[in-house]
Amino acid sequence: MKLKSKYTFPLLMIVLVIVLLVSIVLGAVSISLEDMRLALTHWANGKQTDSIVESVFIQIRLPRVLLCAVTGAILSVSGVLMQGLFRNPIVEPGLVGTSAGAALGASFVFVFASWFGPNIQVFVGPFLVPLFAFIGGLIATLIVYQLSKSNSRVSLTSLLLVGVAINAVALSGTGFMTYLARDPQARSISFWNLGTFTGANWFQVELVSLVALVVLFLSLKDAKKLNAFILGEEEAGYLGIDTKKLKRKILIANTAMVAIATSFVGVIGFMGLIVPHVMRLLVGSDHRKLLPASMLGGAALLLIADMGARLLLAPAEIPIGIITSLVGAPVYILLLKGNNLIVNKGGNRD
Amino acid sequence: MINIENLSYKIQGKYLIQNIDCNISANELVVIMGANGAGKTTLLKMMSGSLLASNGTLLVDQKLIQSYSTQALSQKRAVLSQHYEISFPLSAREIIMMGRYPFFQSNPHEKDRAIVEEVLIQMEINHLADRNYQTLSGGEAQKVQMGRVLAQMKGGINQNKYLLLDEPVSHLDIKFQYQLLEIASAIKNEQTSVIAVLHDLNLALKFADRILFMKDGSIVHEHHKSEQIDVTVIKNVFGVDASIIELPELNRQWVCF
Repeated sequence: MKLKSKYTFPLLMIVLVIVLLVSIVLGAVSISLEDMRLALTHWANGKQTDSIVESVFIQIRLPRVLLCAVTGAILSVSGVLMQGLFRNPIVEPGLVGTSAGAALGASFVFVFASWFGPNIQVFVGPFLVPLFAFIGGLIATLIVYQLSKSNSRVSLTSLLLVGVAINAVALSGTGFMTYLARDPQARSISFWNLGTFTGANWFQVELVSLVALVVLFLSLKDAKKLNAFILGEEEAGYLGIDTKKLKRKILIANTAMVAIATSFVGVIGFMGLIVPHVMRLLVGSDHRKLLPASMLGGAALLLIADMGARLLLAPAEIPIGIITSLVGAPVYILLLKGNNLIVNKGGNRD
Repeated sequence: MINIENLSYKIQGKYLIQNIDCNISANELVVIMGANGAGKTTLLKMMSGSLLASNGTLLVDQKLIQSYSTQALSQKRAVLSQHYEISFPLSAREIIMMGRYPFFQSNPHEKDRAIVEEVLIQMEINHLADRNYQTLSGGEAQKVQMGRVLAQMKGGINQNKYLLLDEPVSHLDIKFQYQLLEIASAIKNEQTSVIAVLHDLNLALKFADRILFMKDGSIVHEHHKSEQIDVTVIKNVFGVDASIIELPELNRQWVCF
């Protein structure tokens, strides 16, 4: 079953590049490879262009596609990290409250920033929303982690129940913000509760990519420690790993990454569940391989979902969260039915 | 190697370990026995450094155990626990490689790989090397975990080391119970000691250099290899009547219940 990792990575990369190109080509305005080449040369030479197609490509399509790819990578890597931390394959940022908490934090700013007037806006500028998203996401995740833990073990049942409760609280908080908001804000909050890449711009792409790279680098450095964590917290300690430090580091880095992405694109569920699951089947559970594989696979999968969102009902656009949930929920149920489903499938994995 | 003085461990007002004194030297296989809830696992966890004393001191090589870093301790002792719960598919070989984690940064050295292969052969689990750990039987899984701690005991810096085994034979068939304890007693040497919790008194009598009998958090009796086992001790510790059969041709005693 397990592919030789020698082939897996080149294969994943080829898939990602193809999906990236197709995503750019397809859309309300279709962009050919030749347009891309021209636009990029113009852009590289610093020339202004008056071609509409080129502007659409540089200003709209490319940032959208890149933001989508990076977000997909982030959500999947986050799934891997959370699952490692909670020692359970059914955990993902949507389930443990990170995304919903981040959405609440972000919508809070969305509604109240205008009340406080422009001063705050000037002070922290475009970082205000991501910052509040981070705070919201961290609080929600910490609550779920603390409440679901008993005797240093995370019980699956309490994890699910606490997760449901915290998600409900965060969701109703966001609902309340919608209620307070004036009409145009309210519309964008609710749209963004389901996730969208409509407003993608280069600032978002840069910030999200930077955070993603830092977190991926840090977690790859800790890949061995995450592996040991699979044995159990105490056991990892016996193997020389400072588990408290590891948990703190992963929790904060991961929340920052997810919260920032969420603050720009809204809540996109189930990515962190499907991708790590599939990648575990392909490359195994060793985080040294699982993390980069999930990054590539997640980017490609969310791009495909986004193409669905843009094209299925074109010219209208479906919120992308609806698509990922439609596909993800059944996978989630499958995983729940068997923790044993994964267990029994193992067999001879050569 | 390990010096324990007046050691106590208290949780929620209840003493799980009370005023224990004992010393464990290199080249010794010490077995801890006692009824359920006597504090065996707690004592083992204190020796592993994962539980810290409420009172008293526990010295490893003349230094307080809490003065060692997690990393330093991991190169000095290995621990086999009673239960493992693993929710992700990992091969047996990957699990055993974890025993080498204290000794390399992010990628295993050639030596680490060699040790893993050596352990696979030693534990007779070569055929399980690429199997998913989650599909192994209880006994097979236990052998893999034992392989992991064996890998952790090998190589590294030249220093005193000790191995802690909590009920290492609970899932094993008779042949492997003996084999595992033979392996355990083979690693003890001038620089290494082994401390194991066992439930089978006859197994303990065969392999142990010393048996510590625990009751209600204290060590109530110490049995040395050459001595005659005392039925009143067994009655006191386990609450059962026993009789001893001498097996002069094997130079052993056999305890019947």
